[in-house]
Amino acid sequence: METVSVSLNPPDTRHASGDEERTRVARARDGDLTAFEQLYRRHTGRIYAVCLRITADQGAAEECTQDAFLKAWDALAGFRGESSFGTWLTRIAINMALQRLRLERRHLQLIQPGTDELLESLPSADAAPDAGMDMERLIAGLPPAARAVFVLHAIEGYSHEEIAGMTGIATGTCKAHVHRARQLLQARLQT
Amino acid sequence: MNETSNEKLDAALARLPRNVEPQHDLWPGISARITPRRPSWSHDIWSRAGAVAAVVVVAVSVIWVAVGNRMPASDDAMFATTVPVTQVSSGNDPRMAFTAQLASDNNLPPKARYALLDNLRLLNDSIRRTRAALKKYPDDVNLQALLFNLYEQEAQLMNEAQQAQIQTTVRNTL
Repeated sequence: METVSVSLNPPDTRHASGDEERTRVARARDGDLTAFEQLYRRHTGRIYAVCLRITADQGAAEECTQDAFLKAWDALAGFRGESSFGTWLTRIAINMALQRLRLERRHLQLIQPGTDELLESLPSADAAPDAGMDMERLIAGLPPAARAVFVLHAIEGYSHEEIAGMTGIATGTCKAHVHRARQLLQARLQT
Repeated sequence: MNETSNEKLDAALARLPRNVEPQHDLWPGISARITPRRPSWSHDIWSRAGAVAAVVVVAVSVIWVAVGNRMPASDDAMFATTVPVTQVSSGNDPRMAFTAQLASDNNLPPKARYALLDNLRLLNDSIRRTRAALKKYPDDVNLQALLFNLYEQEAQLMNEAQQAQIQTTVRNTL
């Protein structure tokens, strides 16, 4: 498991009001790269966090983050502001990460170790200096499908129906993944 | 699982940071792959379309005043069926007046006149339909681009019609 740098208290220097954000989006839509970079600086931590938790791989998360911003740049003309830019961008990033996961699973299906083995390989809660970091490791150790669904539901706050729409799995399967993930995490937290 | 472990898990999840910064800056990789683009249609389409339309109106007005009033009236029945009466009889809109003047220009070969008027009618019809669609979907970028393109085509066609009229007038004078 690769290490990640976590900002528990992100600096407020990138804070922008709704109006400022809309102005930046409009300028970026008109081709202003500086405005788009400001949007990147403001949202990258959020986007990277989602990608990292879904893919559980630092390199894959970085690629997904870059791809999400590139996709957003190309699709900005179609952004109508019905949701916030951050929400819109997050959905793009989630799609990128899920797509990545699907591709990787095709290659790794045959050699992937079982969930229990993965959890056994993780450091214990006591060994981790940071409780948040430990939780990140536990989530990363979940089976890919369960991890993605759990992250989207328990951390990102999407409903089972929304996740079913994003992932193409049945709502019941989605609920089962979340239930299984919670069981695994609770078991690990008790050790 | 008991309630305590559920609460413990929920509490741990609630403590997770919303932001996780990547270990290095990803922006250079993004900016290197970004394709610069022209200003978007959605923001300046109306000003561009308005500018083109204004040029058309001014150009047509000049032609109408300078050349059109000297043209004899046409009794060509073919154009009476091609161009709607409302367009031909409109004297307030320079674009419509240009169409009417073109329809009555007997110096132009009938086939050329017919082709020009028919294309202008098609463009007018397309512009009208596109504007109607834009009232329903004002943010549709494709519709905005289409309208701008139609105005450009109209301006180009009117310019070609003007050139044809001038050339024919000069030839007939000589």
